[in-house]
Amino acid sequence: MKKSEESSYRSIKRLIGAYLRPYWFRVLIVAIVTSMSAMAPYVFGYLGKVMVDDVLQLGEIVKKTVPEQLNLLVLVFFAYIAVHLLSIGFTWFYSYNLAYVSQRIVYTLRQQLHEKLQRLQMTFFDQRQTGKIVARVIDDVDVIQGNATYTLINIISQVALLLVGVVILLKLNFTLAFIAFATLPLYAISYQILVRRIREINQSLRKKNAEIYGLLDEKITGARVIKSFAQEHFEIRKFFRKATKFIRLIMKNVLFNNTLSAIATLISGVGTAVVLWYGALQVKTGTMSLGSLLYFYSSVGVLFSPLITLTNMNVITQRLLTVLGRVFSVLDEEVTIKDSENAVELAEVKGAVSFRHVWLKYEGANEYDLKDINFEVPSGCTVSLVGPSGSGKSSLVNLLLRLYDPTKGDILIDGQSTKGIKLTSLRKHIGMVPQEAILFSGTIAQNIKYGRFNATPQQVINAAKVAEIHDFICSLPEKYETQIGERGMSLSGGQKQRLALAMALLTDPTILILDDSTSALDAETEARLWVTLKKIMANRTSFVITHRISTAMNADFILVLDKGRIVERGSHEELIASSGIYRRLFEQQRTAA
Amino acid sequence: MEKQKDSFRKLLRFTRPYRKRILIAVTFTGVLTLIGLVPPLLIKRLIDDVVGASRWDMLTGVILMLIAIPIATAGVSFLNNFVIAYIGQRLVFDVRLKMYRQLQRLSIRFYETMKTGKIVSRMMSDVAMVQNMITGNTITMVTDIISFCFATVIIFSLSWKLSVVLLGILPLYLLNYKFFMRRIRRTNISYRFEMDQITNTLQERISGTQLVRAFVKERAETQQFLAGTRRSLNYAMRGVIHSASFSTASRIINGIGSSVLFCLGCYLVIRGEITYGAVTAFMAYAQRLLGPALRFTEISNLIQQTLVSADRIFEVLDAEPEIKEVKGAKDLLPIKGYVKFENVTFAYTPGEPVLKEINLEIQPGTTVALVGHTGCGKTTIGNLLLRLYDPQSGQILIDSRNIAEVSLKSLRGQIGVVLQDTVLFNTTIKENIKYGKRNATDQEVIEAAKTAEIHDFIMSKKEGYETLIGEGGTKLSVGQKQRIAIARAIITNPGILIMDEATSSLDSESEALIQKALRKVLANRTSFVIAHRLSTIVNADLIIVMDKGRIVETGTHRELLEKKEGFYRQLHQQQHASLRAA
Repeated sequence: MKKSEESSYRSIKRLIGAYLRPYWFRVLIVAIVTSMSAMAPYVFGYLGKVMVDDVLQLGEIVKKTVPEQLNLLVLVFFAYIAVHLLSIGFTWFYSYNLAYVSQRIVYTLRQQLHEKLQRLQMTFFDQRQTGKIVARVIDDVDVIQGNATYTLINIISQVALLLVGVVILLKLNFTLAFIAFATLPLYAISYQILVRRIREINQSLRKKNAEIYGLLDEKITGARVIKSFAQEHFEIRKFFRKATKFIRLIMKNVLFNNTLSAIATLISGVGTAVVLWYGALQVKTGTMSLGSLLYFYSSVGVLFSPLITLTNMNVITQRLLTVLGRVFSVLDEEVTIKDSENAVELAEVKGAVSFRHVWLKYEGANEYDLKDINFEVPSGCTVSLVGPSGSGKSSLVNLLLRLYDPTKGDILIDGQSTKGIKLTSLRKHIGMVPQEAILFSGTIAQNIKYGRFNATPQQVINAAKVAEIHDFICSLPEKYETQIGERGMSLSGGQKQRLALAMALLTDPTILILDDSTSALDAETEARLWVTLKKIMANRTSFVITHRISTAMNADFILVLDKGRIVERGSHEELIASSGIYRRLFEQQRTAA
Repeated sequence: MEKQKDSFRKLLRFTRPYRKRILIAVTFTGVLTLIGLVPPLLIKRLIDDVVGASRWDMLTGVILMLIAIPIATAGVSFLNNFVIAYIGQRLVFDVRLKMYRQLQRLSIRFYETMKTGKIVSRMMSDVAMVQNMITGNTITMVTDIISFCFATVIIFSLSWKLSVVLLGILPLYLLNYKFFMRRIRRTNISYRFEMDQITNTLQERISGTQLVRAFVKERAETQQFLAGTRRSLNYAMRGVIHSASFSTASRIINGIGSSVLFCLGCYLVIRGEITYGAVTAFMAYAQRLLGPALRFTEISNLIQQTLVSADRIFEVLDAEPEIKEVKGAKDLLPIKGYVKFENVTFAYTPGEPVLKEINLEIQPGTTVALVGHTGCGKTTIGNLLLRLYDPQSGQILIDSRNIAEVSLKSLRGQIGVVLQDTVLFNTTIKENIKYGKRNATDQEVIEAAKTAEIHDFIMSKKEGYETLIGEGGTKLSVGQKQRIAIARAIITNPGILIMDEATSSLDSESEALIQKALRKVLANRTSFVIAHRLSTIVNADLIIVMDKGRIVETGTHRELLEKKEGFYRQLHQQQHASLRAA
């Protein structure tokens, strides 16, 4: 409890110190103006009193003549209009400036978050769902936008409203004011008690709702299994039970909310009735004018709203704090993979790669994913990585790109430890085609050019030709300008892989990594592709991860991995001659198609 | 429009069981609204009669009424809200359950056309939207109509002169609202569109962050993101300006209007035409007239939105299940395992047949290996046997009975399936294994797990069979998942087993265990194996070689290799050749 209080204090301090401070003057002015415009109802109440007591002189002996009354009426009329216009102007000023400041804060926060995300290491992303990360940048910042400045200013203006109201009531009639105050805490207390229960129920409602979402998602994705096992009725019963529980919870929620609003109606209704009763008696005895009573009556009504807002503020503040905590925790996340102080720029790379006793354990994993990986690749060589799924092949090439750092050991390029090379320079020399082709929404040309923005159309076409995708692209009505991705056409796995390949080839990398990048192609296309690829790979260092022996055997040498270790190494012939995993895979693939 | 009216009518059908309750709720609401209109009149009494005319004897009466009204309101609305919420929630419950039932009836093809996300959003958001309209908005509408009508009558009876002025101001109100609402909505849409784009791009770039890094595009991405953010903020500012202008304009109309009305009223008081109490009451009723008037302009919009949601709901509810049981379908007797395909032709999309005139006869107990290139129709054979789809022509017989004529439960319940992409549910291992046989004893579960060679692994877990898997539970390897799926398939002791082997090679341990499990499972049972492993193929009783939707060869491994020009032999040799070509 102590600790969380301290951290919320720190979050608030940081929000004000780092984000609100540049706008402090604006915020201050806005706070003042807001408080002033909030007072308008009191002024209207006062004008009403003037109207009753001085213009109409109700309940009193008429002293003024009709022309006098009319003159005063005109005066009051203009006072009404003036106060209205003033308060409207204030409101306009305040909403514009409030929006201005919060938009600025949003911009700064989003910028900082995005920059941070671009620098954070892969492990950060592995441990989190994409949706959750996006929610930090979009939804959470939205909450901050809606509440950060607003909450602060609201607290100030509502407190001012409350204090001024109390003073007015006390000045009008001391006893009556105490009667009115007596009802207010009654309401606040019952609100506090019930609201906590309501909040608890709301929380479990949200949880239950998420559960139903989860259930639907799972069962709809697994529809095939349900049908295959003829379990439809079982699933319906299960859903029925979940939905029934949900409905019960909702009704409970309704019950509490209802009680709360019933209590509110009761207290405010009975309270004002009592005020009117006692007030009327005061008017009877002449201690209070009718105008004052009506003024009092309208001011009590105004007083209720800051009370509710302030009790609700607790919830908003809590929510703001949670969100701030989440956003700041991303901003404070340590960047573990970054340029060392004296990192060098590599102008030219020959492409000799060596792994020196490399061990890798992912954060939170029990076992090493790579164990004592030790090998050298002379520049220009092609290496095949073969092994069952989960044996560590992809991890190995990810290390080369420094998407992760090894737990132990070192990786060298041209004799230089990758840790001493600037990240941008290192990655520019390496072209990688990932296992699952990643393409972004946009045109085909935009995708191919992703790594080399200024490539000429001819260069794009050449890359596409090598990747055996040019003909397909040309068969589309809009050719290279075809939209792909979410709003565009969907591509088959093989087409995606070939586009990803074209993307990598266009950057003309010295080191090329193909992570099972031709697995979705049919045998014929794959064979054609490899004829050109072999040429391209002739003068660069290449790593080829594959399940297919027919692909692997083209390499200068082959590394066979199993459970994170290199278990066999050598040329195709050498490995066939021994009786290991490679040989077994070879046998398996000879017949099965 | 016709279609929308139709779905509206169908929607109303869901309210039928609650007609009485709805009637009660509407009556209550009407009474409550009427009671709510009383207090301003009481205040008028207080000002004019009690204080103004010094009728102090009336004070107690007026105050007691002022106390009685909130008590009555609190009580009645407490009950009423409860009834309304109950109706709303029951409706949601009914519609969702009906949709879920329907989903269970619908065939796999439906799930393939409409994606999971879409189905979920229909069941959740669209249903909520409709419920909101039916309960929430109907009630508001009843209140609004009553308030509007009665308030109009009352203000005219208070002072027709003031009422005429008020009615003169009213159109200004509505025009202003219409004028700005359109603009506000438009900027909101632009803002939301821009935010959607930003969110989508961000989502893409974060799930593809590996690529961004690999191509060193971090800075460019941030710049693009910021450009989008700036654009969205501009829209947001424009939205703020629009809505601030709107509220300014409406407050000006309201402020000047109410000042004019109030002062004019007071002028009439001076002239002795009406009382001050009447003026205060008039001002109170004027507000009860304006709110409903504004909401009336929104009704058509609301109805439109609701109908869109209703349409989407009925898209699911009205979908015709493709696979249906024939009337009076009888249960399939315990399967012996004789399977026959007669001239079976099938296409997922019309005009592109995946299976062409397949003829097959399998004797009980045979292990059949289906071999061929991807897309040759191997998986489809299994799908048809399970009746997840119906063939366009031809028929499939099990133990000489057409599977289209037996009950689906008896058919699918007796066929065990292991799919290539193993789907397990987020629950315990035990629950997953028992999925096809809810009443299986623990002993049966263990037996099945032992046969599938997964028992030892399960026992190595701290919580054994109670270990949670899937989201938030233990992560399993491909091999482990597949072995659990095998256990799940065989616990029912199925007469026929369909097994789609995993294509990716498994780690050496899983590989060996699965081989061992398969040997036990396949024995003495008609089995169809979509085979990728050499050992399965070589040991199969019958190999069916498929190409482009046709069966090109059948026979045992040895027989097929002996065919000189045979497809199987070619397949076999192709692999050899490409392997040797190095």
